[in-house]
Amino acid sequence: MRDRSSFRGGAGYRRNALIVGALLFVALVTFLLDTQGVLSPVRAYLTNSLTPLVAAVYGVNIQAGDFLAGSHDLQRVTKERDMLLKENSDLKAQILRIPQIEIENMHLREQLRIEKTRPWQLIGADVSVQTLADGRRLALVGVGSSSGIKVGMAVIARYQSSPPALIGVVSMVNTDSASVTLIDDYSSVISVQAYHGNTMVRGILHGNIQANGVLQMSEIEREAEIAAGDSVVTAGLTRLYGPSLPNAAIPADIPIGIAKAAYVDGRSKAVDVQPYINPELVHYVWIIHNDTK
Amino acid sequence: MDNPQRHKIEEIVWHELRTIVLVIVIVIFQKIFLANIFGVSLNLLLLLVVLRTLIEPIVTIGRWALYGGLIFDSMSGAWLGMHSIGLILAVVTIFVLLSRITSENWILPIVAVIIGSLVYYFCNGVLLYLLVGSFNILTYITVVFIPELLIILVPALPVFLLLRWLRSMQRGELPLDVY
Repeated sequence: MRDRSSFRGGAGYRRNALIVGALLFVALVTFLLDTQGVLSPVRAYLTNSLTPLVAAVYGVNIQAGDFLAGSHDLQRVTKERDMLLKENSDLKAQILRIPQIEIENMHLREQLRIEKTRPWQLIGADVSVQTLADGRRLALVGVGSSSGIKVGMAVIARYQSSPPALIGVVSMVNTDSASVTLIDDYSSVISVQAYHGNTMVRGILHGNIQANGVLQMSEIEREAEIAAGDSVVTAGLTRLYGPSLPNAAIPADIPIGIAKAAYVDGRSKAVDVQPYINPELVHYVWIIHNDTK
Repeated sequence: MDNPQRHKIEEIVWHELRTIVLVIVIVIFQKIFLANIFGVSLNLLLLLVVLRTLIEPIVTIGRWALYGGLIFDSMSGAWLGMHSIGLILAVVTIFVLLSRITSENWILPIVAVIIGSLVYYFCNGVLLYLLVGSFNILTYITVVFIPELLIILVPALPVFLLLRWLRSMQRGELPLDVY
């Protein structure tokens, strides 16, 4: 049954050891070169080549999931669609027959609504795939440097009745795709502020490796007043103190979540923050390209 | 007049391309359909690489590990080669430790998956710790390593038996186990 060329004692010992050693060497060299940024074009090419394929399969998977689940979301979306159909003209009703255009239309309307109420210019994008392995929380979106996307830009989304809220920050950009580090990834660090009555409390929001979705706001002054229910938004401190850094693209006052519980942590205070949106549930996002504030 | 050397090179290229396409399909399937099973992702690539190490030549599986890791990295935003290193080290460790045990033993795939996962996640944990930033190792073990090891153990034996059966069918052997 077995056909395993041996490392020990077999005729192919030296050859097998050399080949496996060479494969490991190739992997190590590739890794080291990529950490230095030498292989960025190769990685961009690979990602750009594979993203459409992954996005197509991912789309089919979502459609199948919705169909099988028969969830409340589908019913709600159907109700909203029916309402919009009544309000719109016959021409629009015809357009709405095409599901792709219908979805695109819905996303653009949402984008316009956000842009009207906020000083942001947005670029919409589909989430191609999310990486939830190895404790990481990353997502690949279908826009890149060709659309003006840069590292450090804030990524927002809307889910059900939530306000448009931050779900991550662009961490790597290719020509037609970009990698987003989600706010619940353990490497995610964002300056934030919480509003408690008329006072404002600043701190740093960290992702959490645990899969419960709760984030931690730390580096808060021990005497600061903050309590459960206070809203947490971005502070945009990088823009103030390090305008040349990538995260300077993150504007202030993007909603993130609600303070869940506050506790004393050594000489400072920390707060558990429940984000408005679970980033894993999001299939369409907007990247804040520019804000006019 | 045909050149036999040229034929061989063409065959090698065709074989490698076929392997790469197969690995791409496996990685896409894993990333889309197995990314969230009760909140845990099932690492199909690691499972197949580890189990095939028990029944296939190590050079073949070494190539699978390299290609699989690179494709996985390019789809997940990780540094190219990061997962390949973990997979190849897992393959070598399993081969060195378990190559003398007969693949007829049903405990073998379970032990191999445990050892392979230990090496793979240890390697990934160390690289992430060094390059991404500090995180709690104990939490990484309890939140990432243990759940992903437990979920990969569930299909280990059935997949191993399936792979062994496919191998027997390819060779025209009678799939008969004697205990």
